[in-house]
Amino acid sequence: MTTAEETRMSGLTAEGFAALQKFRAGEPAWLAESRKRAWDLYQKLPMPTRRDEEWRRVDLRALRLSDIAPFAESIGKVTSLSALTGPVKSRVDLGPHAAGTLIQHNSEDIYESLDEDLRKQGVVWCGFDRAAREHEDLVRKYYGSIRPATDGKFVALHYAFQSGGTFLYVPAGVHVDVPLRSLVFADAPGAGLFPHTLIILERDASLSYFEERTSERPASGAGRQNLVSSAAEIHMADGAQIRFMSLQDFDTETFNFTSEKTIGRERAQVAWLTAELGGRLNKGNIDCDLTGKGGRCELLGLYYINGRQQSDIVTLLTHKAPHTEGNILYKGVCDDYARSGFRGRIVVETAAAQTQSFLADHTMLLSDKARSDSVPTLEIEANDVICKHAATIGEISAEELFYLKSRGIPEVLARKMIVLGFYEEVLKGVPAAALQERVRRALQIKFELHQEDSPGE
Amino acid sequence: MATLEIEDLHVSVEGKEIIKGISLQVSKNEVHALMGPNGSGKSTLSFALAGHPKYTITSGKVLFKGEDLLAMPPDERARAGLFLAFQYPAAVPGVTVGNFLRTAVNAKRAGGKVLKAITGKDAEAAGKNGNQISAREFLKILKENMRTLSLKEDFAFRYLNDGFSGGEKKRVEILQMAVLKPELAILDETDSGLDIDAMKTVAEGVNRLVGPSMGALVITHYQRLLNYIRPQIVHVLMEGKLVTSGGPDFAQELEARGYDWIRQKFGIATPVAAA
Ligand SMILES: Nc1ncnc2c1ncn2[C@@H]1O[C@H](COP(=O)(O)OP(=O)(O)OP(=O)(O)O)[C@@H](O)[C@H]1O
Ligand SMILES: [Mg+2]
Repeated sequence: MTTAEETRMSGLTAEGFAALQKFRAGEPAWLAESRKRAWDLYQKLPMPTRRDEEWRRVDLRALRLSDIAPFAESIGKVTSLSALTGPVKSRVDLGPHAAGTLIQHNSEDIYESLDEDLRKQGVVWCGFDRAAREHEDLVRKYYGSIRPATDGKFVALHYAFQSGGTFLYVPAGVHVDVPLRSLVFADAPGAGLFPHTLIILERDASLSYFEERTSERPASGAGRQNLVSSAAEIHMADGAQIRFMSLQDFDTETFNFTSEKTIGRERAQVAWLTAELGGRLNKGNIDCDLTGKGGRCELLGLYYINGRQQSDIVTLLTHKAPHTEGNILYKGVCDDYARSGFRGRIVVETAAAQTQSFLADHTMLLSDKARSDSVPTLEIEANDVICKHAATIGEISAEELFYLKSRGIPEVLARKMIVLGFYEEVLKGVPAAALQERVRRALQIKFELHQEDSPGE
Repeated sequence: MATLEIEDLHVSVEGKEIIKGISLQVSKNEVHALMGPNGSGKSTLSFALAGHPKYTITSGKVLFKGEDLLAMPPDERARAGLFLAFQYPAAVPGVTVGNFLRTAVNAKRAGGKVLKAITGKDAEAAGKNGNQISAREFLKILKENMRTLSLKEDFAFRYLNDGFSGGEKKRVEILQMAVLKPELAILDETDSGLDIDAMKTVAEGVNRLVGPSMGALVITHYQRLLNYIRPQIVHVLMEGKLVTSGGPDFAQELEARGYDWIRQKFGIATPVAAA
């Protein structure tokens, strides 16, 4: 048996970890050590249960870690996008125009491109595994520094089994205005994916970034579970700006755990949108620390789940310096038996005087079996701050629905317009029309597929 | 045969009878005014005709172009050519006036069949595909209509009634009527909240449409609107019944004398709230 086959045959177990270690032999020693430490930690940490506050709304009992392989092979490197076929190809075509594209198939990078001008200006953009070898100093300095393995059981699992992901370095003063695009596509049944995103923006650099994660598994894989445990770390020096948008659309046999964090220094500006549509379970942790004067952070999110999907999102925005501004806005829709939880937290530390920060989340329930609950928290330790929160749970307004129908619009179409309209406030927050449109399309497709599944009211 | 034929209509809301037997016929080329005190049931009648689920028809018959209107769901009534300009139009955040109206036009063209995709490339494809109107073609028509109603172009991209002033909402109702070209329009107090110039603009908008292809039932409290939109007949609704009617100048008399004399003449109790 080859080592690749061995890893594919094993689970997220001691045996699987040993197989992966063997398979990754030859990677830098510090990375191998970090892997080992994370694995030891993972074994020590207890599996979260519903008694843990942050996991109260999440059902992990069905998760069979020993059935999920730590690594899944790709189709191999391709040198041009035209070499792609099938579902990966169609996902690529759906995307916005990009200044650089990185494609990961299952656990491996298969394609990378970057605008020549950006390359000349010193932008580095490549698959994480290559970066660990070729940009070792930078990667080693930042890897695991703001999202350490100690952050939780599934974060530790991520660092133990990490493979794939992206590395992006933007030198001081360089602007990446046309988005760079990262696409992760999985089609192996029963696979674990552990991509790591590491982004470093030097002083006054700016970046527009679009990340899409999706899967389409063969029917023969039905009944197999999949797991994704990813981490993202974004470092922003003084005056850096980022527009980060991610779209997650995994199949409903995938347990998806994400753990992402940004640190923004003086005058850093963060506009971050996550759109979650897929997954059997989506458990997201999104944090931002504003550590320098005049920083701004906008954490926007939307999700649309149905069937028996579950979503549980925890966001934390910490103001550590004066004159910072923050805004968290999440909007979600649950249909059928879907359940969602949202826990938004804003912390204004003592040093962060003259700070403004807002937290809002709004949920729409489309069925009487759907559930949602929201826990907003504000912790204010500084004086002279403006900090507010709002949360609502509602359904489609009968008056809005009647109004649209009274103009000749059929009920299903009217409902779709109202639901998609519900997200607009969030989508408008990301100032990049092509990215907005991509997310709109994804929402629309999901809504339409669902309508076809359950015709009539 | 009149376009709209209402025969002994009874309507209840939450178990309480509000419309207590109304018969009325409105044809194309005609303008009927409907007046009456607050709470007499004018909006209830409008909602019942438009098919609002809260309003239950307990008895009576309504034919629209000879067909049983009450058997149709609300969207089908609209596509058949019935239009209601709401007294209090709902706001629909996130749905732009332009996208909404184009969807309505295309829904009518598709005969109520649900076609996929309302934004992006597919919407363009829809324009080339069959009789669906493309975004570009539609925007042209919309802008022309907005100009005649003195609505700024940016209204096409604003969310439907979201943050609109009272008068703007009313003008957008008439804009919808102008674009959808109904055969029978019910205008529920479209004049209230309009300044004098806006009232003229709106009245002109209505007058442009009333004719061989449209009739109108105009609900109002004031004779002023009826100076601009001349009705052939003015009906008075009280306590859920049409109690009397008069010619085009009857509105003037009502405005001068109020409704008490009608109550006395027809033996209708004075409502407590109005005493
Ligand atoms: N949805 C509803 N729920 C409860 N009561 C209603 C509802 N709609 C109408 N009514 C009641 O029916 C009666 C008639 O109301 P309607 O709105 O039809 O009056 P109107 O003639 O349009 O009055 P106005 O001139 O004030 O617009 C009122 O007593 C009102 O409270
Ligand atoms: Mg009324």
